[in-house]
Amino acid sequence: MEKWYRIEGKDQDVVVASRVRLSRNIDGRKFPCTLSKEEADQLGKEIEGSLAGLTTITNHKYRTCHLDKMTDTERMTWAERSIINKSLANSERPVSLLVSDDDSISIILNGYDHLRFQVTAPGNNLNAAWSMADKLDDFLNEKYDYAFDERYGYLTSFPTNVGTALKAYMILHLPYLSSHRKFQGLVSQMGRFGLSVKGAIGFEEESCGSLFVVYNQTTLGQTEQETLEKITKISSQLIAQERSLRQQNHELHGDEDRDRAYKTYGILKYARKLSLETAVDYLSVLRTAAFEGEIALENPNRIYEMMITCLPHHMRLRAGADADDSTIETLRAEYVRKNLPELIAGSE
Amino acid sequence: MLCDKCHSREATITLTTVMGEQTKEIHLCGECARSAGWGKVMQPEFLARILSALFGGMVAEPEQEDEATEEGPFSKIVCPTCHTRYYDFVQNSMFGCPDCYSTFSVLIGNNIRELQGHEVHTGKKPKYVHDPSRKSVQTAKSAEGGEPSVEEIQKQLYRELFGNDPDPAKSEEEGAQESLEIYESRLKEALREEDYEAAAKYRDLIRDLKKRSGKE
Repeated sequence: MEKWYRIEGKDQDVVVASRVRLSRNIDGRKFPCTLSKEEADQLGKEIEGSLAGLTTITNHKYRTCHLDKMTDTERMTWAERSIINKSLANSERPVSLLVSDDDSISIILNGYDHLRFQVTAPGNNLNAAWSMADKLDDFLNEKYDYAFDERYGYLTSFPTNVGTALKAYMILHLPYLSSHRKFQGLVSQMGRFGLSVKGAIGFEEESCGSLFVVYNQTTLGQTEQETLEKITKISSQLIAQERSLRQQNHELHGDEDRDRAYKTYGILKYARKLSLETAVDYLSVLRTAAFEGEIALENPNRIYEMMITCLPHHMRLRAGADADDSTIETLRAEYVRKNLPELIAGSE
Repeated sequence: MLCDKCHSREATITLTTVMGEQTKEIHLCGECARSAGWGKVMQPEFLARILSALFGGMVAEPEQEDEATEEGPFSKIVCPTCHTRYYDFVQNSMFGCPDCYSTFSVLIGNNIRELQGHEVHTGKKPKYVHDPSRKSVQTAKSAEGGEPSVEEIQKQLYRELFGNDPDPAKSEEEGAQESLEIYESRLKEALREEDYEAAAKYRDLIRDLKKRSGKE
């Protein structure tokens, strides 16, 4: 089945994806952090065994993996794909992970909460992601009573998730807006709406590629629909501002942009060594140019996938644990050369 | 509310006496309460003993001395289901089981409101409830004159000791401690979300707060 990140979505020039995460715990059971390894193993197996109807419900096949049986690098690649977070990737607890054949649905068993499902939809479509998550939620609830309290809602191991236990994310590509002087001001105002903006990809603490995520900080006292609407509304303002800056720039520097797009393409297509920053930032330039019509590429959606696959742990997984930085840069350049979308014939 | 004794400082402790249907309340500031001999209620051993007598196994035995003793009067409160201590929660911003919410309800209610901006859930509820009896433990109310719920006993006790339910007037130190816990929770959340900019902001706030309260 086609991976979600290769499928076109709404507002894809700016919006890469919409993502929804729901945390649930089974009533009458201790949260995973206080379970012994044996208890966690047993619960994991029990839940895994009860997921037989998952394929029918979601229309996807799943592969199951166990984080404690993976290498550190393998676990970190899941973190780079935003399927698990880094602190879970760094732990060696018996966490199970189910991922759908198109990578759009993932279920974590025994992470910080007993169950966490994540659904990603291409483009600006939080409602599609939510409706699948909602369906999954009911499917699992049919088998297990959830830890739920009339006052606090769905009970989670972290009080920062209690209530709807819903985190919704809109992944935005904002190359122009993020380099504008007013961007920091916009970001710092998000707190007023209970939202936050962070870099979407990066290494260590540095974000790169002009990819950002808008997400909700709070989960109590607002319905799921209100949360989704708020993020969609705020994102639509960011989208409009990014588009307007792109348009202004195009009117003033159209020729230079076109030149830059082709030069960038040339470097990515022929470089023999690529650092992470160069690869991701150049891919970011190419993505914008492709969606703005400055360069005609076969499948510009693939660029986001390449930005993720270029990240250090993905590269290390290909290169082997002992590979040095120079080997990784060579490998990254080779990967980019082979996978870069082709120019549409005759468009040059 | 001003202290009933000195009439100058803010009252932070309310003593409630119930005689039949009549309830009498005395509001005291921390200083007057201490001079009246009520200071000992702030001692962790004293509180642990009262709670232990009321809730049986919910509180660690006073003789089980550990590092938590130094962390304040509530650090010995222990969840009966998963044995998470309040001290553990303060350290990790993480609960051990669903019952921790009712065990620590009185202590964390304000923090959750601060963290979330709201205190009551709206939105989806579980579509299926197979065992309604379990659920009722969380939300039980003794409306028909039966046994009061754990939450109510705790609230009552807290009210008697500190007189600040539902909206407690806190001393500056208590307020600072609460903000510290909120910032710690937010910091951990930001790190989990890999939102490093927000994490740096909370780290600075925590450092400032600790400096101000002379802990560093």
